[in-house]
Amino acid sequence: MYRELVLQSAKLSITGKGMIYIILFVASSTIYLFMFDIQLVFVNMMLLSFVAVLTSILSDKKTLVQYILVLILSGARKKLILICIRVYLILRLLPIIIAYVMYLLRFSLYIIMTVTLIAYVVYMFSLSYVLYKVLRR
Amino acid sequence: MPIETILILLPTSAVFICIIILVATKYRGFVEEDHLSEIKLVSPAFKLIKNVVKKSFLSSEVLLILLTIYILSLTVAYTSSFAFTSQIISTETHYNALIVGKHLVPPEVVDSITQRYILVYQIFKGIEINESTYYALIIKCNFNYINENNVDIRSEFYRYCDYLSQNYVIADDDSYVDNAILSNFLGMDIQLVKVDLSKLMSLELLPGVYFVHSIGTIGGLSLRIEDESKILLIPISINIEKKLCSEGCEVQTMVVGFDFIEKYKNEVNNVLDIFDYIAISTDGGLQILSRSLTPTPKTLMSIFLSFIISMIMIYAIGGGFIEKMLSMGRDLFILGATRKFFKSAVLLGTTITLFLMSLPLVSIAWMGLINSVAVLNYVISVIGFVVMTSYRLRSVAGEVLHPELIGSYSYVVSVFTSLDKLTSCLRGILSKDDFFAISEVEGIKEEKVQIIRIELIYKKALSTLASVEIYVDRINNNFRYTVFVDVWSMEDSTREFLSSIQRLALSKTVGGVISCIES
Repeated sequence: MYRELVLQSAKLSITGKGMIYIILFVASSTIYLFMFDIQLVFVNMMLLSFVAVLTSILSDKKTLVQYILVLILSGARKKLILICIRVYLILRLLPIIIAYVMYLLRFSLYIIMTVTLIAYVVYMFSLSYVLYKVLRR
Repeated sequence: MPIETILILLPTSAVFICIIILVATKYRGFVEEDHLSEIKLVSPAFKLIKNVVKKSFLSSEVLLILLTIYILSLTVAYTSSFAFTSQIISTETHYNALIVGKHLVPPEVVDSITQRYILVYQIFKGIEINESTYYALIIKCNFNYINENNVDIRSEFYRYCDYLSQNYVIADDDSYVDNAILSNFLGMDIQLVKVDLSKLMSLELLPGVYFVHSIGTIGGLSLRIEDESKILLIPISINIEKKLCSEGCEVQTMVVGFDFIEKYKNEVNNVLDIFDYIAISTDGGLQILSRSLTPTPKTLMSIFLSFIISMIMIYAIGGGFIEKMLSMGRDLFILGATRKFFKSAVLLGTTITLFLMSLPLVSIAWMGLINSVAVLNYVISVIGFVVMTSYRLRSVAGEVLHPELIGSYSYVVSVFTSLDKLTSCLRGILSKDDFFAISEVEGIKEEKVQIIRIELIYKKALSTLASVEIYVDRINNNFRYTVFVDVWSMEDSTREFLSSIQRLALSKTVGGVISCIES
């Protein structure tokens, strides 16, 4: 059952309209990054990627809310719901992480890359928790 | 980003957020315990726009969009760079650099830029001597015109510079001015020498820019002094420029430089701080650099990419904002507001919100802490947002939210008028109408209801008809007259046009019915 729900969350994340926006954002921001090799641009793009994930969730708000509410109504536990939300978020963050890690590897910025990855993980965990709290309410 | 920017940005943003919170608190509404404020008459349009502004200020979507635009604007400001306007023309040059300014530049400033040069002040204010007007060229020669074996423009200036170095004023052979007259006019002892100045007249430094007074070209015709006898070459040592321009005059400073080209290339930034443009000799031509700045291709690309990113974000999140606005719109449509009115109010309200939100960015740019390209980027993104909102409002609201055409009217009276009397009365009234001609009138008697059917032809169009149906039925002891109007046309008429015909036919018929009943 866990596997099915995880797969369902992944499917929802990939097929959602927000995924297209994320991919478009990643494409344009990567061009921006490669054009201007300035650290501030990278920091700004990282901040924007956080906003982009939020906007992609808001664009698929109806579907996501419906899905989580169904899970809550069918008696799913908090842990399972959080896992589903995290799978959903990881897949949304994946194109951004891949693009930015490749960019950082090109300049061998391993420390910044590690910090970036940690930032995304923290963001994903905190956002999933906030989403759960908001939907539960 | 410099630390000063952050220091300024933080308090400005904090003040701005405080203002938003105060405004939001003020307009949050009244609870039961509060005293209601005094009732004021407010324009409905103003109130609607105020509501839109309030809603958009507090909407998370608009805040996210603004956050995106702000981050992108700051990024663009940081990455943008400018270059002087540059143009290369292929022409034969007699000098290494030509520096031109549309004002008087002191010789000491010129000395700090170049060492070997001819400095010319073209004084555009004429000197009136014996009812003739003369124009002064104040010249300083600062090159070794005696020993150097010059092959460029300096060889032509050899004679002039020699005289000028001895404090001679030079006039043309054909000039009527003489020593005594000039000394009298200038109020000092002047030595005048007359030489042929015809060569000087045709000396073109740049296309349209001559050594003598010129103000450019119009349609291939150069506007300059044509008569060499009107020219006076005055050495700078006389210090006459202040006397000539005591009441203000137009002066053009021209420096013809003979130093190494590399020196001028290195000095471009300093030169263009003072002068208007500089022309530097290059292989087979001249490179003209003007002080007006243009954004580099990278800057344009940066603005374009940030616009694309902001549009992606706006498109992704705009749907939620439209939904919020439409929830308000649906209530308004029930009250009779038209779609256009609602759309205009939303767009105006959103624009006001975004304009107010731009104030921190504009103030920072105005203080010079960030590049003003940030404001340009903000404006472009906001225009994109407004256009996209307008388009999506049209496509989402569409026909569904178009107010239904008002095609019926009910009139309840206690007096009954017979069907025949009403029919003949209506026929009489409508036959005299200016807009409609009667095609057919018939009365139908049913068991519980009586119907009058009238076919009206709209006179101002070719084939537009209005079918009017008047239903007369009984409600308790009263009689209800309900009028329905349906308009159809074979012409390609717009919905608005048909709607206005329908309203016109309805008003005519209802007016007729009321006057028939009451007569």
